Amino acid sequence: MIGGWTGNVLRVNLSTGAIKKEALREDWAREYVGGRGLGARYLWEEGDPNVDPFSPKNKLLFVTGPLTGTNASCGARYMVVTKGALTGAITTSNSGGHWGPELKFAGYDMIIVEGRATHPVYLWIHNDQVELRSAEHLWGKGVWDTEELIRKESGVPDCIVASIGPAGENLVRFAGIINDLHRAAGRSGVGAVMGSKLLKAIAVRGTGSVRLADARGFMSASWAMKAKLKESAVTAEGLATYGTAVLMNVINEHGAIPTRNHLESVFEKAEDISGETLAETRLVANKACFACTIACGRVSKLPGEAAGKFLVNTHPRNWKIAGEGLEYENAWAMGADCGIGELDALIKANWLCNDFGMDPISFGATLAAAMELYEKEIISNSLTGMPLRFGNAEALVAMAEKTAYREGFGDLLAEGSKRLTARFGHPEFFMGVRGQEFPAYDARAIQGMGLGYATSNRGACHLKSYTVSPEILGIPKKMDPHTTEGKAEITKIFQDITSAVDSTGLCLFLTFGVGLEEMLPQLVAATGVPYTMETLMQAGERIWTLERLWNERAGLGKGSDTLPKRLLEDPIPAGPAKGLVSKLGDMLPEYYRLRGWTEDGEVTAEKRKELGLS
Amino acid sequence: MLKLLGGLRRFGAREQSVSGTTVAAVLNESPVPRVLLFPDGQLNGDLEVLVNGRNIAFLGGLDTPLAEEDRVTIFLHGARGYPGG
Repeated sequence: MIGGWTGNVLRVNLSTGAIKKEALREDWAREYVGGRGLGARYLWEEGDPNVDPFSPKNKLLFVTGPLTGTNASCGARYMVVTKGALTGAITTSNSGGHWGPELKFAGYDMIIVEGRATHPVYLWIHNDQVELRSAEHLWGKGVWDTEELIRKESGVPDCIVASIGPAGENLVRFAGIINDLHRAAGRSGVGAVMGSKLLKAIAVRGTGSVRLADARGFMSASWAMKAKLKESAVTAEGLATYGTAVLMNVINEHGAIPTRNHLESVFEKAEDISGETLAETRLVANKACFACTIACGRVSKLPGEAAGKFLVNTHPRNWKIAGEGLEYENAWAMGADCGIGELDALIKANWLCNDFGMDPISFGATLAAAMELYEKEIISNSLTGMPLRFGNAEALVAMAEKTAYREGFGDLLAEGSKRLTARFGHPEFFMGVRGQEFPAYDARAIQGMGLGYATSNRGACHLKSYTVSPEILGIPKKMDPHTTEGKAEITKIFQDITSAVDSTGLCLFLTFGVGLEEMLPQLVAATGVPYTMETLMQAGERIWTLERLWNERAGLGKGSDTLPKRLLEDPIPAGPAKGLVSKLGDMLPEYYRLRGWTEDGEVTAEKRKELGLS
Repeated sequence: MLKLLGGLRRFGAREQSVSGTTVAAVLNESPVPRVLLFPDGQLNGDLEVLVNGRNIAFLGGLDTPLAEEDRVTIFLHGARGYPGG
């Protein structure tokens, strides 16, 4: 077995209770690197793209990368791969913290979960001891209680737990999987798929280590990359000081922050919910994942009166006064997109989302769509139970709980904004792609993001092609966000690079400080595989294309690469990007050409052959 | 008006009145040290300068003319990022 891997796959069939230890496909580990790519390859082989996401036939994969659990900076990631409950597309949601490394230390590279249990269970892994345990006493509990109870009852206080909360149990279509209390494989409803299998948690304790092909070379490469990260103002200081929320003011200044369900693109209260304000008023400390030298995580507090202001009821589950967050995307979705400028409400709602196991981006964006329905008098108090006006902070916190428990109007919010808006006859209010809500960048004001959203395999996503980097931050070169020139090329490159980075087990945030070529020596030394920039970029393209092929089988390939009418036809009403619409149609043909696909976006036989996908 | 974002706020209030008829003039009057704004005499490559939300790279650079009501925003990112782009 090549280095960086244990060579072991756990296959857990919840229907039969069978647990098998299998050999990792080394050929796939080489070709697809690991993590996202390896998971996609296994799902391609074993999964049915046309199955209902909640069917026992849908498989749920937890996949590490070869650098997960190593000394490489930010080598903490694991990837959850499945058919998304929100989208019906292949989804690859990843998380940091300590769970992925712990799985490697226990002696496993990945877990394939199949079937559906007859009653709630959790998977217990302590090195060679692997068993399914009853979780009936945990069902209904939040993530935070679940982690604590498993640690206590197992007698292994150092175990690391990835679990679902009430949102996953109740099949909220944007439920996530949470580990280390606040680290989330958040998007596309991977938690709902886990809930549909009655799998409450996977608790892991491992005491092994990761074998490296060339330990001395690896350490040398690892220290070289750490030095580079230390030179970067972003990875050495910026992210640690302000977290991702530093983008709130930056994006708002560009007039690119979707506001009130994309009706506007400048938020008048951005400063109040910015990373700067968070740092000045509510930040306790920053926090790092396993082996991370960036430490972008936020630990925030709600002191004094603020702690009680947004209590939605008197249940102890809501008595929290400190937790993690806010990240930029979450603060945007529950803030600007809902017209809410009260920082404490966002902090509170974010904690609730973490404890309930729910994606704050899709939750906030779905609430924003509901608020537009309310403001336009399509729905009313008789249905919602409270005024869902833009800016209603109390409604935000209350609806977080109602959504997770599917209470009242929350039952409709739990379906996501595509289904919600269609139900009330206004699908044009859905702001997303392939069923998944947009993140925090207006595609009219940042043209490249529009192309990235439209072609993203897991639905609208900022993490698959972050052209904000050149278009707003000038990295690696400045590109005008208002124009389309060069955007097809940069989008393809970023998609392929991101696919590769996501497959190594490293965190994507490294790319703010170093390039793929600076990560490469660690990968080569760890695995012993002579990857080059060329082969790694081709692996990225292979992964992207395989995901595309999977979606084509699911009916979400060609013809699905589009944006809502609002972004294509309604000009931004005011601000620096006033008058702009997305020029997606100008970019798509060039993008398809660069990908080597047909004119209407179908992967060709030649491209499949070139990438070894035939 | 000059607006400072992120770490640049250590040098002064987030919004301040700074007069000047060009971007260069405003930066010269700003509280941010020159060594940070113009290391080696050139505009810091890690610094982004906006006029009314548009990067001066797509306007007239440091010579971009300013009217009294214009807003200049500066922030520092300092990353290198993706290769080959």
